[in-house]
Amino acid sequence: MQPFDPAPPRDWMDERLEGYLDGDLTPEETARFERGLRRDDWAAELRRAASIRDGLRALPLPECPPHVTRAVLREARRRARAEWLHRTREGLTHAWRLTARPALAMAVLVALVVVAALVTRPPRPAPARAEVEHALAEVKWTLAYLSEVGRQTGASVHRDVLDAHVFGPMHEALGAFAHDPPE
Amino acid sequence: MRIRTLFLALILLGPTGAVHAQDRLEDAPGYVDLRTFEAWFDASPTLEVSVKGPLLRLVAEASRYDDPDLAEMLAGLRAIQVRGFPLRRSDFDEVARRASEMADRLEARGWDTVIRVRKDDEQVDMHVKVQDGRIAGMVVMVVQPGYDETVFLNIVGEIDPEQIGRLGRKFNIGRLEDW
Repeated sequence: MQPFDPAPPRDWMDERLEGYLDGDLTPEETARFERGLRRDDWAAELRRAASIRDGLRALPLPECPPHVTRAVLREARRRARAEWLHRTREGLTHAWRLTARPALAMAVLVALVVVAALVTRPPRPAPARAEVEHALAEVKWTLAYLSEVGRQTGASVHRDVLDAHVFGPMHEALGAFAHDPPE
Repeated sequence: MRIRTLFLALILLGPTGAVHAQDRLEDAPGYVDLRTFEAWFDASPTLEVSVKGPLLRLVAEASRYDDPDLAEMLAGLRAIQVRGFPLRRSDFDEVARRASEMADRLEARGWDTVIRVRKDDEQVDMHVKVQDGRIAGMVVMVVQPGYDETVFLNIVGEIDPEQIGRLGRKFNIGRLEDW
């Protein structure tokens, strides 16, 4: 006595029709599908599906129009370039943040410190009032000394040069003239 | 943009260092380094005056109320320096010879001789440096035996000898320690 084997439902058959034609079903599904072909008009349905498949395979492959090919390739290159730039920019930004920016910041800081050290001097403490007073006394003494040097030098020149060699002989000559004027 | 601004600031700051270097007192035409004279003596100076830079400006301001003429004169100066040394009579000839040589070197460098006195026990030289029609410096060398009778003096800046003489006569000369 044969075991009872109900026919697979119609939608089950419909879902596996193309798979059966392409040989994609499992052995159990293939056996069950073939049992389902014995009823209704599944055999005619199968033949119709196989005919459509064979007709489609026989059709010539359509060629892509050249302008479509160019547009597609252009878009593909554009997208590839954009992707490359995006990755490169991200990489540089990452490197900049990690190394170049801190290094440049340090270099600028060092340069600023060097320039500041060269240009500015440490602030000198303001002289105390007593120091200023003492310096003023020194300045006045220096001016007095200069004036005294000039005075003494002038007196020396007057005494040693003018009196000795000019006024003295002139006085003597005038005195001799007064006492003994020429006739 | 920020980096460009930063480099511009560095470029602007750079020349200020050069300008500062050019303003050194030692480079002034009327300046003479008195350490040259210190090398002639074994002893340290018995008299030392060094008023320059900010201290000189403060001295000028301090005298403005009591003596405006003095303040005006000091405002044109950059330095006043004096060194006094003890000199034995036995060393007079040697120091006098060196002072004469220094006077010759100053003349060779464009200093004009104002006073030159030569005696057996006294030698006086006064020179002025003229630049652009103005006196930019004065050097006085007095060589005389005594405790602090040998004096070397340098004034740097715009000098008016008449003004110095007029102002100096107001102050009584004595020993600096007594001031």
